Amino acid sequence: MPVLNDKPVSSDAAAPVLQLAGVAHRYGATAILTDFSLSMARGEHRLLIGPSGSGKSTLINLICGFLRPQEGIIRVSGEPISDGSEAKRDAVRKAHIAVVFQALRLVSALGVADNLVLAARLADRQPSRSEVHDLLDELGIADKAHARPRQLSQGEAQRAAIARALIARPALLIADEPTSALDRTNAETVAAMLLRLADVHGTTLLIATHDERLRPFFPRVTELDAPAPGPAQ
Amino acid sequence: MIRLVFAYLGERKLTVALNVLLLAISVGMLVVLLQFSRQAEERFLDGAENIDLVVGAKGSPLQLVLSSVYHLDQPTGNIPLEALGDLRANPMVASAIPLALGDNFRGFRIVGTEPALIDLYAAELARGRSFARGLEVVIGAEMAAATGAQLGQRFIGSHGLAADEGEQGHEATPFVVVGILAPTGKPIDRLILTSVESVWDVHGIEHPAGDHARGEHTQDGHAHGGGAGELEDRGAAAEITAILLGYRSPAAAVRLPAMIDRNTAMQSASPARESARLITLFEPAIEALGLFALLLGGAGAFAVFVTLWSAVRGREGDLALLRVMGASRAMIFGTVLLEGAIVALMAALIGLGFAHGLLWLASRSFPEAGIVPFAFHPGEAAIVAGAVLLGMAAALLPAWNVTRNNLAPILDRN
Repeated sequence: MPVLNDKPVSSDAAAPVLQLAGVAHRYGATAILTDFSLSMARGEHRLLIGPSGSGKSTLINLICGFLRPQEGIIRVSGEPISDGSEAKRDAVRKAHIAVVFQALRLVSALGVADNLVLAARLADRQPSRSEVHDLLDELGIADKAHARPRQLSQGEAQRAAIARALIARPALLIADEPTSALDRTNAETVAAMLLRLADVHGTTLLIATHDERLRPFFPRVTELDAPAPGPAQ
Repeated sequence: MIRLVFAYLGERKLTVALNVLLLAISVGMLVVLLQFSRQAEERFLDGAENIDLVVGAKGSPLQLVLSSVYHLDQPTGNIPLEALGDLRANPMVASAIPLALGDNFRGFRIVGTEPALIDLYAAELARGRSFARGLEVVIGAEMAAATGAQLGQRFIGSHGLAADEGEQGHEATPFVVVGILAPTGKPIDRLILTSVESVWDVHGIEHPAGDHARGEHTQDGHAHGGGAGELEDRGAAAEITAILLGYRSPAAAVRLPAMIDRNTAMQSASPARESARLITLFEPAIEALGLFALLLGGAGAFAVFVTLWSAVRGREGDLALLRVMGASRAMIFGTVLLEGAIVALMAALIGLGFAHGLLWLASRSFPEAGIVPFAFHPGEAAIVAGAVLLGMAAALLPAWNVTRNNLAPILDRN
């Protein structure tokens, strides 16, 4: 079934930041995930690769607590996010997770710097101006601090989205197809940046993609297959 | 999040401006109507507080009250001076104060009367003293402020009751200011008070006490047009315009008006009754305008609703991202609600400013109406609160709808 190449973290890794055990989810008759397990240690980088419809987005929705798995348990930094009330799942996500999406990068009405400040405040942080500036500088877009999202190129917008995610100081950074809309150079730049910044900030990084260009950057890869249709109900 | 709300508002300035305009017109209309009805009511009640009955020439009783108590309309005509003596001799009458109208100074009416009129309006002298000799005047606070008149200053009255009515002046008989009244908010603020004899003397009219200062006057012999309220020409029998009466007892309210109306060539009018009648006349118009303003408010709220409904649908992705970033459903709900409230608050404040600006313009254009442009009424706070609640109510459905969004499919699409 979908899980092909789940390479477990070495036993000496610290307590897992992300832990999925026996997770199953289906849409109608189609099983998207079956008995899926994954564990990621603090600071670990992993590529979750698979074609469209293989369940990458479903998995991200499950990890973020937007969906509840029909079976199994998901923990982030030791806290369950697969069950409990919506408020409780919101709290776990807010405390530990940041996500970078393919298209949904920044709040359109705000400038880049204001997006970072908003993201930090929503994560109960009060970033200084210099912290915002330094992070944008690290991503090479300090000169775009006051630009609106629509004024950015694809590559700049994706880098701004990474900054927006990192300013919240998440334990787990998830990137959903972060390079799909980018050309090869930009894709490689973004991947390298994600890895470097995740290292610098000690962030656990999970990238879900179908972009094979990213495979060489990641020592750990989990592959997902397209789901097989189940019996008609 | 407040910054975000303002950023969203800033993204659609024109639509927001249109929403604000619609609501602001509604708020402005309601405030103007509130101020108009309250000020009119207060002005009518205050102005006639100590006057039980007005006696004057036959005609419209409302016109008699308006001209003699509020100094707004033309008098109905003149009455013989003897009537004053007769009424003073009547046991039902506690006080009788004569009024002789006919001239003005820059639109401020010159009223021949007695110093008791000052007490009748509960006015006090701010400077100087009351008028005692011929051609001495006491001026109201508003007249003093508008003309800058000071004690000892002399001025020449013009024929007629309005600034543009007469062209001729009484150059030979200038009045002198001997007293200035403190502001009262009543019609007396706009009057120039002098003795009845002075008015007669200015017009060269023979009268029982006509020996004073006679030699100083040039008798111009002008005609006062024979219109309502104008004193008769020189040589005519001394007349006055009206008499303000105070009853000795409540029983007089029943008998005295009937007696005057039946047994004399004059008419009596009760300021309380005529004021109430006037307010009643305005009521349907005020109610209709109020209803129109409420309809406009409803249209404004609907515009806010439609705008927010489409706006939040357009920013579905943004709101999903905010949820991913840690915003709760309640927070998202609150931002949309706040957006409606801010639009309505802006509209309410602009409407308030617009209304008071309009009142200010009206007070400048029609000073005789005595409009106070910047007197805030507690009802205005209720109108502002109502507008904000309306804005929030308009935002309620879009806010509720957006919080029901299932994030997973939105995120899948992005």
